[in-house]
Amino acid sequence: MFRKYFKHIFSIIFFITVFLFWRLGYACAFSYHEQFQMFLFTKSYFLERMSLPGGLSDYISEFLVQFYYFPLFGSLIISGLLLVVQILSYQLMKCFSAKDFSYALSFLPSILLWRYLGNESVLLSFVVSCIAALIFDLGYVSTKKNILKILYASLGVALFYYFFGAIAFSSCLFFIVYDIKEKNNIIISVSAVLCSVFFALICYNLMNYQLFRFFVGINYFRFPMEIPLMQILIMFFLAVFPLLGLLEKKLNKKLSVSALVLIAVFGFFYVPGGFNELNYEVIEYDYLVRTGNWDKIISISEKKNPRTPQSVSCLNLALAEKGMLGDRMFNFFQNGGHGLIPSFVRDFFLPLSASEIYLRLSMVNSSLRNLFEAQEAIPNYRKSARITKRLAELNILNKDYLVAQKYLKMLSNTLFYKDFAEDLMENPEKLTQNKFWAEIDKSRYQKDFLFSESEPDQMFGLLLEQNEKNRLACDYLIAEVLLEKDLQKFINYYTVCQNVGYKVLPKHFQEALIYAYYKTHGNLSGIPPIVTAPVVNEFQQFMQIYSQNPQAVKNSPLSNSFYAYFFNLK
Amino acid sequence: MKPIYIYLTLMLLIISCKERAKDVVLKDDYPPIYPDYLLVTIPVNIAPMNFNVKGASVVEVDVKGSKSGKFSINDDYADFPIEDWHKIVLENKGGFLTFDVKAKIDGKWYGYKPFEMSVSDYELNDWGVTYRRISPGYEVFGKMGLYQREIATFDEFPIIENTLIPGNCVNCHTPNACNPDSYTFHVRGANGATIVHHDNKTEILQSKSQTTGGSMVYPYWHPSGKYCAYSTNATRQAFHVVKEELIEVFDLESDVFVYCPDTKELILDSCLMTKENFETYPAFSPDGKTLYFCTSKAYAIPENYKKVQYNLCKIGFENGKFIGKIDTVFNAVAINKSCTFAKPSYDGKYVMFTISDYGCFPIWHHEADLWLLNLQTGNARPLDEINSPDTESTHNWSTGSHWFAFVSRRENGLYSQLFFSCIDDHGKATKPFLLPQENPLEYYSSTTYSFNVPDFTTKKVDIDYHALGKGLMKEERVVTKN
Repeated sequence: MFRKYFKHIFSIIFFITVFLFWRLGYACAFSYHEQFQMFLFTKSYFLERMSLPGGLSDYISEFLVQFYYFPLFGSLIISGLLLVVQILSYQLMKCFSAKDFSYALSFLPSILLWRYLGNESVLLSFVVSCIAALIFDLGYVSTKKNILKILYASLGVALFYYFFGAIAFSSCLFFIVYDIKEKNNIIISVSAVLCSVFFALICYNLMNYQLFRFFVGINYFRFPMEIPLMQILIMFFLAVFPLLGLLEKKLNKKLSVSALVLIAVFGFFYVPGGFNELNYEVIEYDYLVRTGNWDKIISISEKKNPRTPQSVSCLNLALAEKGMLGDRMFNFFQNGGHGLIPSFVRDFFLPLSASEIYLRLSMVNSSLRNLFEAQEAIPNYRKSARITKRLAELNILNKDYLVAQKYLKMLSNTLFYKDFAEDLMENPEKLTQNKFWAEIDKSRYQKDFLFSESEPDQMFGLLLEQNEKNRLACDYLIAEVLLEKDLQKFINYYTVCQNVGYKVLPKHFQEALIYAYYKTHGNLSGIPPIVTAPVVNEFQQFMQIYSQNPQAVKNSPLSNSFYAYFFNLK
Repeated sequence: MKPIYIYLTLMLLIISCKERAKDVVLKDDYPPIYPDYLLVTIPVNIAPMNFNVKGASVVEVDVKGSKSGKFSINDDYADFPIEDWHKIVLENKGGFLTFDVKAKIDGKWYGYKPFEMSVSDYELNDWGVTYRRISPGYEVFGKMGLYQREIATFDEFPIIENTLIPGNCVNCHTPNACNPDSYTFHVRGANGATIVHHDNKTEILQSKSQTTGGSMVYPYWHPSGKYCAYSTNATRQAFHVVKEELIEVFDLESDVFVYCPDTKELILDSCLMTKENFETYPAFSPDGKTLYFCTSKAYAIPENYKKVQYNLCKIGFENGKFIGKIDTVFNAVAINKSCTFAKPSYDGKYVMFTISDYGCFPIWHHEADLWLLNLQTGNARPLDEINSPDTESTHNWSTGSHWFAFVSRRENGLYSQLFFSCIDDHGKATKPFLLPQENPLEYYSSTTYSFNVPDFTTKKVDIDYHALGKGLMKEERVVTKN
């Protein structure tokens, strides 16, 4: 029984492993990919994709990636595709004498792709193209008549190149390998290579792209000027790996089991190496900001301090949203003044969370700018459904209904944003009836000036002038001067906190106040009652430890205080 | 013929035939068409003026010429067959076409008041228009490029796209009086350069001149082709915070100079490079003896950005030298406005410019309008016939100087579109019409691009973009001389 079904069983185990890996470990990756495209069910979208070599694989992959909107579907799609790669690989190896014993080796292409997909810039289009190439290879193997082979290697290759892109070169190389193994005349397979090169050159002549991109794929990788070596290696490996089927005769049951174990161990250690921890940290924080999962942001930060400016700013937003910025911000690593809102960079990803921060502060135009720039900076020139949705909302808030209408119309041709779009197309005013948006509209700047990124405290202060109850702006204003260690500004600003309606002045603000007071007066007598007794006690403890051994602060609970941050003792 | 083929043929015929108008409810209004082509004036060689009827599932249009010819169409939208279109327009030059529209909306057929399009006597002899297509963004640019579009058809061809030089931006394609035998444009970004094509040679100039200290920016060819005037601008952007405004573009400093492609020399004159003033937007008169430019008193920027207002001035130019003194041609400051983007007509009669409340970059100013200065009378007036409540700017004349192209943000306030209008012998402009597209509603509602700096071209721009792309990716650049 086991012998009969062992191949199915191992394939299913592989599918489940891949599924759980993505579902439990990297679910945030799906949001990352989904947000940098906008699949439209329109003729013009299809034609636009089909206007370039590899367009069909782009179209198919973008169709699939839209389902990443739900991470569960994303995990299913990736594991499904890698399973298909494995099954097709085995089918191809069978043409090279593979049977039961070499079955384990058929997992190798999937494992390579799995690791490669760890690079967040690899597009699903490459996996789709690989699958297409494996099917195309099987087609060549099953074509026996010479005339059909000639057609396959000429017209077939040309069409395949156009639909699936540069992966066609991998297939052509496979044709040569196969013909050599079968002792066929290699003229047909060599002419397939020439045909694909010729067709690539025709495309190059007709299109405004650099030559090398027609030979390595226009849209297999998000960055047009970069082609990872790994992609080239996989393309080469796909052409030659079926030769592993020839090992069948040299393997026996024992060796076969050993090979399976070896490959499982290899995969276990090899695959995670493709996932850059720091990149995925930022991706996860952005995903949690996108979904407004503030508690999760705080809980993962408690386990591991965020290390990048973007993740630190996401954490600070989460703390502010939960009303804890002034109480807990120094419990975590802080990144100086830019830790609240990262400086603008010409990037497609970093401005996304910055735009969320601006939005929640009611800085609508800055949010709009960051979003628009992020969309324009998407390296492979795609539009983003996530961004377009926000652009529509912000334009409605700006009362630019006609511009919003344009974005909503685009979204109405998507699968998962359609309902949102149609709802607002019917009644754009509905947006500001929502409490979240109404609050932003109420708190935004009413008096014009030119935004100054280099003077964030001024910008927060002007927000408070507009709405003195804007707690987020107040938290950010005070947090900003504390992060800049500017006690003078803190003294000037902290009185605005009275209007916001804190029941108790946040702990770190009290810490700054007591320290500023102590610095000016040399003692604590007459300290304003706004500073609570526990904070006074903590300050006295801090001063005691600090005067004896400043470094000891680092290992004490006082390292989570403003003083520790001020004296670089965190 | 096998029954299956007969069946298939019949099916095909049924599918391809749209429902005919019946039980038509007559309305006393013009049809709600997009774009607004009601009562516009068109040139003889314009592409079919296809339009959509808003909300209609089927449209039936009878087109009749005032002199001769007629045809009908029945489709999802008014999609005129190109040959029938050109035939009827040509036959009715100097006359007009009448469009009788019936549309099926929500299951009911409606008949509308017929409307007319005048066919101008003034020829538009140019082959096409060139323009930049770019998202109306801030500092970052995605896919964009310079394109050319044949006026008589819907065919659009890229001149150069930034897919060839990823991460860079291309702008300001400027031929010499619509003749693309000489042209210049800029590439901005890591591979930045100024491209000058002249005498069948393409040169890639260093983007920043050591002499001027800045990049070559707004260009204009001398009619002889021997010179090209440029401004050099230290341009910056800032961002408004209120809902009514988004972006402010200003110059920290700017000067004007002339480049001589044959010698690679820059012709500089201290009176066009003053510290006390900003000089920008140079343009030669059609006889080449005058250089127009816009100038403003220099202020500390950005704090005084609203004080910057430009006048239109001129200086003599002969044999590669500036001569005489600077004269003010149009004093915009006197009316508390700013005059930019001056373009003299090629027949020497007019200068068209953009008027805004302040600043040098009117495209982000909702109040920006086109004005026409009659050089014979010295009178300047807003072109109310074509202006809208939103931005009008970046205009250019056709070679015959009766047609001009400009961009307007009238449709939604952000995405600029390309319009044409015609000026008669008395300087009166006709109602502008939007650049025709095969399916205009589908095209304009789905595009995420703005049309920018349109210009006419007498023939297709012939450019080896691959060679240019390779050249741009290298580091070598031609260095200009003093």
